[in-house]
Amino acid sequence: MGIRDLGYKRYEGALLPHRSRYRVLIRRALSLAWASGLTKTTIILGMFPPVICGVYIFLKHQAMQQEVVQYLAHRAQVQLDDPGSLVFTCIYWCQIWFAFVLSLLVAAPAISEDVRTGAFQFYFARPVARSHYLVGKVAPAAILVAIVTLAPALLLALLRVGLAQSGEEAWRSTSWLVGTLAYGPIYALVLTLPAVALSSLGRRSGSLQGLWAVGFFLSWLLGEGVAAGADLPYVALLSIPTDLRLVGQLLYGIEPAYDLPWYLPSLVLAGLVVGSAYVLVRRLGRVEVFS
Amino acid sequence: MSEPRVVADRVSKWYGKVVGINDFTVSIGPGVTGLLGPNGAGKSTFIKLLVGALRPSKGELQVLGERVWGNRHLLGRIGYCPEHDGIYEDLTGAEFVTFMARLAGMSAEDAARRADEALERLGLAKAKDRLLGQYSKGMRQRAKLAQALVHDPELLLFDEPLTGCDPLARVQITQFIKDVGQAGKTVIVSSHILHEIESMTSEIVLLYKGQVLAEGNIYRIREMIDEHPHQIRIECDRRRELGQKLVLSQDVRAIEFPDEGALVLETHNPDACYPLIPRAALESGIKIRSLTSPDNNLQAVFEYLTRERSPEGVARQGRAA
Repeated sequence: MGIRDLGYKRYEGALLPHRSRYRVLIRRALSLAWASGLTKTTIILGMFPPVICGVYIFLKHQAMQQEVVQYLAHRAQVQLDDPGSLVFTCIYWCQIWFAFVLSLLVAAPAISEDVRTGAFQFYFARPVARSHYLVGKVAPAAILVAIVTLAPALLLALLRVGLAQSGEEAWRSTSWLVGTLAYGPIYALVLTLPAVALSSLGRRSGSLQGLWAVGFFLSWLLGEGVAAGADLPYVALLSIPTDLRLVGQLLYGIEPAYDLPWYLPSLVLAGLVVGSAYVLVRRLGRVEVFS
Repeated sequence: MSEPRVVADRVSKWYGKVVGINDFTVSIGPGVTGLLGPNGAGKSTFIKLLVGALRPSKGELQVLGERVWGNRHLLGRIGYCPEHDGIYEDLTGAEFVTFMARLAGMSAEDAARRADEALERLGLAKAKDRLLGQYSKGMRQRAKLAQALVHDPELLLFDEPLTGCDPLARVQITQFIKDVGQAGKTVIVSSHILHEIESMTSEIVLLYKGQVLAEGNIYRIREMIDEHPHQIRIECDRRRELGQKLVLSQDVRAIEFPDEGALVLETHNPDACYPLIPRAALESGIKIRSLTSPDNNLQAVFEYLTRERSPEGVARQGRAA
């Protein structure tokens, strides 16, 4: 019979550098999010609109090769080949719902859950910096949002480049690729950073998720409603989704929905992101976070 | 004499107008040291200061020769088991301890291996793949101890590690703490129950109202405490049946039934009483949910000690002399 020595055993191995904490925290948050059925379902459902768009772009491209379709399009004065707006329509009008649900499920309770359970006492009793923790909370939510926005939009833009019949057509399509690469990270940051900042302000995840949803949709309704109803386009800037839309239209070279100086929506979104980052840094940098 | 691992020099910590600890000076060396004091004495505040969770309002605090506040690198040399749970209930015991080891900087492979070893050492090998949400209080405490130890720290801080544990978990945790102390680690354990601390070490620091009342050997304070009856609260089913069994012992001074599902036993000899309880429960097939000790007796001793230290007490001693 072997008798196992259960006495104290020293650790002889090496320790990884401090930057490894980023990876550990991000992986942990991603696996936790993936374990949730709701998150998984949202991501899977979020793949359908881009697939439909992809099929549509492909079929349209095939049809465009037929002379009869070109003739009919010419007669009807219809601009058929406009994949840039299609990519934008997909990433904005379709994917914003999935991205929002993900931000609601993953970003809005990211810190409040730790405040509620008192998990800070475990994190910050380890050699984990506030910056590790912060990135470990924001990055996973941003990655998940990017999975349903940036990734499919990028694939659609690539598909369009791949289908190009001429060098000129391919070059035109490349601009949508660049637009997508710029728009995706902005999209992910705008939908996650404010939600994570909000989650640092309390311990009740449900209430904070509700607050995020109300803020998002109320600003949308009021901003767009007042802007359209009272013909006050500047009011539309109060709406987070409208600002995202205007920045997207700018990046994809599409005519903007409101006649406003091009830089204003970008400034509003930059203010939102910087303000959220400031709140997070202040909250986490506060002395004695787990007293 | 070995070099002190923890040195607090006139450390104070205020929460606004509330005093956490006040003018706290103490020096702690290797081995197990007990922080003993009634609730609100400042034990948890001192431990949180040691782990860098709180910033001292005043004074100098050195741990393992380094300042604590804002010293992230030092935290890799410290293991902390907090009083409150604060653990993710949707993680298994193994996942929780592995995650904590990863945060300490271990590779995935080493972390998993060390987590398994730590959980096995604490008697959780069979339960390591169960969710923490399904763990009993005693199992959670042991999982927290495992995460504190997993990265092989030099200083271990255990805040009320026996709170709410069943008798078996108490025995296992007590033995574990003694083993770690014997392995050359510096261990600081807090409790408001003398008997708990006494079973782990004879070195204690007595705290009361945020101040160090005394430090050194436990036996002197033990004599004073024995003059006051010790209370043990037992939460169990069929409490009257258990009470009938226990009252037969000459070490049990009185038994009360303060509320539903609990009985409180009063004794002058806790050492004899603590083994008696599980034995009596086992004989009758009674399930004990928790054993706790209200700190009334300790409170009385501390009040006695502080009276003796007050100007009136000093004058009284002078008159008696």
